[in-house]
Amino acid sequence: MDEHRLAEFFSSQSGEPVEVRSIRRRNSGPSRDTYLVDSSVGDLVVRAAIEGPGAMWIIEELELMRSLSDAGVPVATVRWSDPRGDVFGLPFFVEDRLDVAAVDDDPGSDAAATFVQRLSQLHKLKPEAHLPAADSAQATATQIERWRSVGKSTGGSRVPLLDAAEMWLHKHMPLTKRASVVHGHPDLRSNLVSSSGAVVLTDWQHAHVGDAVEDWSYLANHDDGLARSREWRALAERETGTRFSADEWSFWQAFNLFKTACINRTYLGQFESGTNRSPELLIAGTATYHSALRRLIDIVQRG
Amino acid sequence: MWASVADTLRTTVLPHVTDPEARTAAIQLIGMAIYAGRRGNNPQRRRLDELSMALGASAGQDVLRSCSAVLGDPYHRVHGRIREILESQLDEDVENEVVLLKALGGQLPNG
Repeated sequence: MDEHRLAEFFSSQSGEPVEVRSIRRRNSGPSRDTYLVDSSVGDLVVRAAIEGPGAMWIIEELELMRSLSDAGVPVATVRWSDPRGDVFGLPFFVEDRLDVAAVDDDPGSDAAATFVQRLSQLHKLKPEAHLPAADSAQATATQIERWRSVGKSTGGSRVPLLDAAEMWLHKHMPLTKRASVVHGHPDLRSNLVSSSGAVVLTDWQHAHVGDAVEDWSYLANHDDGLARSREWRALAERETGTRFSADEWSFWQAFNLFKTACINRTYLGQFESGTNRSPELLIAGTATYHSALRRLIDIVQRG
Repeated sequence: MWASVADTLRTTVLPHVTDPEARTAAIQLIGMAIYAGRRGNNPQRRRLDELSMALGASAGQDVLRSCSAVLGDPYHRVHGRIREILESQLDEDVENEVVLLKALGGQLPNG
């Protein structure tokens, strides 16, 4: 990302000369890149689409953040955007970066309690007010297909075990009792916990209409939460006043691992194409991918 | 060669790297160098041959597509065998890549 052009864009938006002091790239998903920007108008985050479905997804993400903000959901503030891709050829938006405090993965922390409350509030919103209309009966199947397409988007050999897992997911889909706005990637790192203790939800690229249990299962079973999975699950059950059944929990664990595996498959493609040559991306595209696939297959075999 | 890369990064470069991000990247590079030095030849050809042999007459031109079809049919005569081979190949990857996962988690890998 070119510092000079970004500074020009910031200056045109703010009406004053803006200096961009540094840009640091972060890996953040199959459809967009994230850049941390130090500028004379503050610390900012730039979310920029990459090739493929990224352009469409980032506009949906931007619209969702604005809609949720209007509804009083604490989301990161979008400062500026270029939805037509006039500056870099692909759309991007700029959000404020909070004074981020160190976040641990302790489900007993105040930050965790606030986060779970925020997520629960999100799930109670009417999805049709914030996301494109979707048939709730088809919502889960649509998501399975979405991640399958993402996984295959960068080519590479067929993965029979992933194909088998996809069939298992279609066969074991639970009925969605209530359609919700699902964040899709909720972990404490997706939240900006400021030094004042504010919890603001961000990283909405995977949000969709679906079953809220997807989010709770993700929170309890992704890499950072795994060591204390039972505590996260208990916290979610207390907050929602719901007991998740064993079958339901297993399904959503498998679904989230399928999603993780499909996303991580794309990282190897990005690395090999030269889009991003960071060691982190290569490791995510190999070791993290295989690890998620192994855990997924273990659930499929049990189930 | 890879052992030299890992050792030099560990003993000569890393002690002088104080920036947290640069340090994280250096640890990941050490992990990658150790992994590259251990992994040997690309196993893809050997793996496809192994699957093709197990598939026998069920092997089509695209061996992996044939495997997907077999996994989709629980009553297929080689369903269990194909699943076993694929899982064993996956386990081989997972085992070889432990060093990468450790490095991703910020642990300085041994070796």
